Amino acid sequence: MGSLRFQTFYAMPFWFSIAIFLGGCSENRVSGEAEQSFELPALGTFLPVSPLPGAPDPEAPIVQLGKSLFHDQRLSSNGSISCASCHDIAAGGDDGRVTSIGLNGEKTSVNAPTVLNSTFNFAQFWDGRARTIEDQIRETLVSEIEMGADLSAMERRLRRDDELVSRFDRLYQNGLNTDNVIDAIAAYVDALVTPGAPFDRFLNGDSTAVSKEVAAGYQLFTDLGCISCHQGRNLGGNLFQTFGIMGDYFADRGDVTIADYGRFNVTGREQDRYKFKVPTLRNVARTAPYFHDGSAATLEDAIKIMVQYQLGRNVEPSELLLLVAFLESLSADVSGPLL
Amino acid sequence: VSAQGIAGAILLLLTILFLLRSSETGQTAFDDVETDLKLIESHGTRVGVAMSFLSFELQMDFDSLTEAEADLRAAANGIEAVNPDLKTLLDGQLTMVEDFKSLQAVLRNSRSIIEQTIKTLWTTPDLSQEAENSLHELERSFLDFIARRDPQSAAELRRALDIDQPDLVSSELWRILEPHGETIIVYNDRMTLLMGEFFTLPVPQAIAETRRTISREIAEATTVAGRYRIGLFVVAVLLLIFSAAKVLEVSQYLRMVQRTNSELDRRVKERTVELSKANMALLNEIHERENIEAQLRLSQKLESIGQLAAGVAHEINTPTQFVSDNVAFVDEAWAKVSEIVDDYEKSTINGMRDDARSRAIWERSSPDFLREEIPAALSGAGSGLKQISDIVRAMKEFSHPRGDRLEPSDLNAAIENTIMVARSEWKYVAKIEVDLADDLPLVPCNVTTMNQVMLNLIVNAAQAIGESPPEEEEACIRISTEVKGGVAEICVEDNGPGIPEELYERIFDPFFTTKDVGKGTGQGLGIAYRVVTQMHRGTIAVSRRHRGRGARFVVRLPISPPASAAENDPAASSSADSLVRSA
Repeated sequence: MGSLRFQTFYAMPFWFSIAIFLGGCSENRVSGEAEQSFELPALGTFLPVSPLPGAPDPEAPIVQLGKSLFHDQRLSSNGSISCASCHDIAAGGDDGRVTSIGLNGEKTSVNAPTVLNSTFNFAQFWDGRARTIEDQIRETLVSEIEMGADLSAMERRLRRDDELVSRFDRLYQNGLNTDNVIDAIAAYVDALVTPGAPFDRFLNGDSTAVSKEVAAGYQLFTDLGCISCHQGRNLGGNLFQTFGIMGDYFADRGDVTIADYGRFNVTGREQDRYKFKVPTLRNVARTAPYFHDGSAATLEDAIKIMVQYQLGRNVEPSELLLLVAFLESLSADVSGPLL
Repeated sequence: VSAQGIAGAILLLLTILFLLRSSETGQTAFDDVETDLKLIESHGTRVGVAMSFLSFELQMDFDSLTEAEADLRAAANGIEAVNPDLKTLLDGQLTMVEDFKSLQAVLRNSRSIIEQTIKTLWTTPDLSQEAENSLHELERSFLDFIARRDPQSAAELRRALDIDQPDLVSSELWRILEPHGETIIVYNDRMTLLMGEFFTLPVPQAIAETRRTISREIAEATTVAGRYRIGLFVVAVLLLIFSAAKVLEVSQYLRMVQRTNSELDRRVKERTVELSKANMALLNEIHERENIEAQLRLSQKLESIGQLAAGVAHEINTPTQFVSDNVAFVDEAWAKVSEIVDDYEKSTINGMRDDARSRAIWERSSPDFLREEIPAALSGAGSGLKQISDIVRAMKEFSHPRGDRLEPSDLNAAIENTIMVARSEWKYVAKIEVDLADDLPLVPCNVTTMNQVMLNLIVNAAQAIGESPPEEEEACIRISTEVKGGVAEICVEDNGPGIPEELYERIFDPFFTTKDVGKGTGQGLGIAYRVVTQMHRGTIAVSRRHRGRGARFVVRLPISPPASAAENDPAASSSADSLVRSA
């Protein structure tokens, strides 16, 4: 896998020269007339977005075990909530709340991000403090506000379930233990990917997969500069960015909290203050409200704030419609066995 | 093999293992580190190349850079234990990559927006010459800045942006363009700083330093390992010498063994010759012994016959006496009968009848007496003769030579004969009670020798009783036969003094006797033992009489013919059934 990527990487100068060669027409496209016609660059040239790779086998025993655990309320210390309480797989992988509600009814400090396609994120949590899904699961399990689990007590609780113990025995040499519980949940999360969104089908060459509005929306998405951060296969999830490059979002919003400091809370570096992981835009139409503070109730609100504070521009209502159409084309369902 | 030897061997083995382990140079550890370092170098290069490549590019995503970054992070974690400083450097480098992505996204966005905005501004209708000049100057300085990205071009761009040309400044587009112009300058400064820092980070030096450290450690480890190798070598040499010594020892030992063997061979040959001679002698001796024993058996037979002879003579003498007395009486009586017969002839045949003479003769010859006594004397003589002939027949039966073969025989009859023959031995000391089983079948038996056994037992019993007659009961020898599960059992009991138990084991030894010198050769029971056990495959045992004092001898003989005979002759077993004597 690594070597493949490596080769792909070294092929870049070749593709780059082609891109330069095609530079002129690229410039023309950037210059506008989006409403009239839209064509993607010829396949093989670089696009800043790419379709999702295929999903792992959703019926693999370990994935199904992870699914059971993901929905198992015994993972929280008082048995009141499971992972799925805040990450409803059928409803976009989040909970639709501004911030989530933990095991004792206490509110979390930030909005729950979707678990869908989170395996493609380069870091987890808004501030990116976890580099792996496993670390993220562990931290969420033991968080006093979220699931409040004493891991050894959780292990004992689960051990009383003979059927669960035997499922672990079949899959793991050392059977049911905390590490394997986390591993199984991570396997499930890794499987929670949504390939086959209309826009992915379009990227894969199916020109009928999306409407003209969607194509125009993508052009606008590119021209406005959203694509500077929301790029790659996950349209985000691979860099940190300051919230408020072209304007002071937090001063305008008011009531700055520690959670608003973002990446600064992890690194302690001043330049990381207000920096957050750029979230994926996949299934974004289903994961309202938006931003780490859940302050944008609708996609339109979120787009307006982003265009204003990140891009230093304004967006027309007609453009808003096109952008929403494009973002809606990034939604796809997880396969049935994962629900 | 002693416990010390085993302990020594284990100690030696452990020492060798220790030396072997210690003599490893840690080359594999070095290889692992080298692999990590190579990964760091290659992923670091990937990251660096991607960053240079991306810095102002518009049409690229960060996925490849992010993957290279993740790979570099993994490699950095791998090296932490070896060189923490390198890990810290790499962490710094990775943080710079994060910053790079943030800056790059902003820069390319601002660049794109500025390009778009300038192009759109050119399309503004009715631009004044001054505005066109300013716009032209802006476009030129912007392109120059993009190309050079140095402080000078940045200052020029800033000057180009800092105008108060009313046509442009009043435009909506200018309000977008101006902050992006400022942003691109500020972010470019940061990016320049970052790239400068990134490419001057002493990562290659740290990697080289790590290599040097590792090489030094390996050199040290190799030196130490070298010492252990010398140790290993010494141990190996010592082992070799030890083994050589052992081999020498063993070969000497083997030679010695060979010598001893040949010596032994010679002695064995000698001894074999001696032994075969001895064997021959032994065979001769055995043969001689057999001869002697046969002679002994014969002499014992003769002895017993001799012993019996007196008795038999008496037995014959007594009836002979009264036969001859009776014959003498008949002879005398005949004189009287003869007178009567003569008188009868004179008076009746010759006609010289003389009644007075006849009467005198008649009365003188007492005819009533004659009439009574002559038949009595004759029958007495007849019974006497029968007694004699019985004894003679028994004698004959008793001593009739039949060879050594076993033949189905009537043991009861043999016992009765023997009792008869030995009559003179017992009749003055004891009575004999006989209880012979009616259902005793014919038993495979050599009657001559069995007679001798019985005779020995009866004579012994009689002699024992004779020496010490019982006081509280009538002296008695009891002889019985019985069939007991395929075995014919002959039991001879006396109520004499009995045999002390400590003698039971010796009693069947040849030449053992408790009798006074001259009274017996001590061969009787010894011969009886051999006859019963060897010739008849039976047993003979002595014990105390069940009730009262006395000895009890039991001879047991198998009723079926010996196994070999049964095998040789399949009919034997069926004919054995027909041999059962009907009661």
